[in-house]
Amino acid sequence: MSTSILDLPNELIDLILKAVDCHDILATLLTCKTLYRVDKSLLYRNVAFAQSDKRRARSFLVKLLRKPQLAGLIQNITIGGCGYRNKTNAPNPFTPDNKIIHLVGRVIARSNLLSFCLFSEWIHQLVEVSSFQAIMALIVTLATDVRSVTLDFTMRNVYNGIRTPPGLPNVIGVLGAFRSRYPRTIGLARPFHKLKELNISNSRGWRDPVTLNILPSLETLALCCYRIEQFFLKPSAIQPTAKLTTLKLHSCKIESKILCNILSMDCMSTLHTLEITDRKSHDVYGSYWAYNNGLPGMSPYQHMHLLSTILQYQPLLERLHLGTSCTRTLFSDRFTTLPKLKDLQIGFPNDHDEDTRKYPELIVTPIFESLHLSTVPKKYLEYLSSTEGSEALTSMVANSYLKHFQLDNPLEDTQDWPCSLEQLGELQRLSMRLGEMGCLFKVTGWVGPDQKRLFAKLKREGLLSL
Amino acid sequence: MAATASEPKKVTLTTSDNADISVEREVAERSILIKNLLEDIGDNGDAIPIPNVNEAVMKKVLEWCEQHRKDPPASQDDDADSRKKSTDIDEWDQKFMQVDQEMLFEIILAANYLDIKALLDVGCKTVANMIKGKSPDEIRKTFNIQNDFTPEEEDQIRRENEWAEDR
Repeated sequence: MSTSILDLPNELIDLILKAVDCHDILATLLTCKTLYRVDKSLLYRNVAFAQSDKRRARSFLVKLLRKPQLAGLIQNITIGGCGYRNKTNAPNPFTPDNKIIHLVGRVIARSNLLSFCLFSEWIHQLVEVSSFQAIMALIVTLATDVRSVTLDFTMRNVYNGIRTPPGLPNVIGVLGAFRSRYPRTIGLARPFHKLKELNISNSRGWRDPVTLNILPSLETLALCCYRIEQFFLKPSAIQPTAKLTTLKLHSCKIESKILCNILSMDCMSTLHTLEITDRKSHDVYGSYWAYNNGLPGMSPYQHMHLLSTILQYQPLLERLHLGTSCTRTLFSDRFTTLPKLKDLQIGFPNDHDEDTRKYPELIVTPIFESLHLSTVPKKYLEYLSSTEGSEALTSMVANSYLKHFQLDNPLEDTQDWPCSLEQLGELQRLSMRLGEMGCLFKVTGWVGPDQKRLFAKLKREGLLSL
Repeated sequence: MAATASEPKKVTLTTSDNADISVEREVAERSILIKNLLEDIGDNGDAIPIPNVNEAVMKKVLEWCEQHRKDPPASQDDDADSRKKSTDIDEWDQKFMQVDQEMLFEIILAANYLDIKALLDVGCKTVANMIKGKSPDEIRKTFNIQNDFTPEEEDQIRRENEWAEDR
């Protein structure tokens, strides 16, 4: 008999279903009794609701209120703002609603006393309040074991015709406001006390200041398009127990002074991953942009100030991705104040001189496993494609732990590929040689339509695989 | 980081259908099971029995190991990984997984037995992609599953899990 999906042991079915959404899981469970016997807690592990899903969210809440033990299975919650294609369907903007805060407060205060009569009372009130925020706030409150919350408000809403983003389901805002209003009850049952990861994307409409003090176990904070100073408005209010290990800021509008203040806070001293990228800095255009302009609104002096703050206050960093420029001194010092640093992405040292003999020492970085330099000057690529340069790099890699070495070439003023085809061929040979030594070497650059066609042709002929 | 040794070490694996396959040790060691076995018993040149995997599947698995021999070891943060619902599969792996279903599930079982996490991952993602966005009926058709629910039972489960249904 041939092997089929029904021959897989339950743990493998679990593994497969981990990669799909809850409606796919349900569809799979509904196929036959054998699959229905699979661990149903999976259905509750990752739940996601968009603002347009109010009916589903309410039905989920009703289920949780009937069987509170199910709420303990929820580990990851995603709350999205998208799903509305035109303005007429969009929900009303969120206004801090006393009724909601009051309701949530009662759930929090009595969540360990769930009883049927409370339940029916809530249902009644929910129908009355009937707001997506309230429903989500209640779900989040009941989910005592939640590890990660993602608030995903992508630009899709905005592009699809809604000029101002619709009101956001400000669950954490609700809880934050609740906490400040009823400081004593929060001790009884603490929502988010296990929350480890919080991702917020494009939450421009969010105006409520939120502090980390309601998130004592938070380890990972990823913010995109967010005025992050609001998050850290009252540094003194942050519980000393909150120790972040990962901070990712993408396209966050921030003054360098505030950013430096935030980075020198006590709860930031445990960071091992720090990524500060602007809208474009993850691609080559961005490198170019960073090369010319640096992080938005920052002068070269402020860049250096930011970098020296990081060097001083984040001694445990293992991974640093920064859109700023760097200096050769830092490279020759090998970032000595960051002894654990293994993965670095930074601008090419901008004070290199024209003397190519100086290049090897720029990157003699035996401690790094991954090095990604943006804004690499044309000259350096030329140097690497020469015999001298490729030998220097090969011997450097042989004496290092480097497993990944990437160079981004900025968009030069002309739209030419930054080096000639011969040089490209040399770089590819170098890449293969380094590959054999266990180091992935990659050069990326701006590619126009003409170059694309040429590359496709060369690829077909097996001459190029860069 | 020194240059590779001139003569790569080889090991022999004996599959469930008694076929001997000779393979470079580095390739075979993508399997944590084999790696641990080699460490425990030492490499004395004896063939290693793999009683749960037949020759055809083993060859396929080793083809994958060969392609991925230089991959960095998997990261430890399992928790964070399992949460991510990404079902992106790299191009080579996608092509590799274009096999009939029987082989696909055999590869998954073998990857699980041989403890090759990355291959198991790719296999599971491939199956997940076959499930995504389908109705129960379509899933039954895809995997040739016999429906043994009565309509009432199916209705009951649907009602209980209304919240999880697609809008």
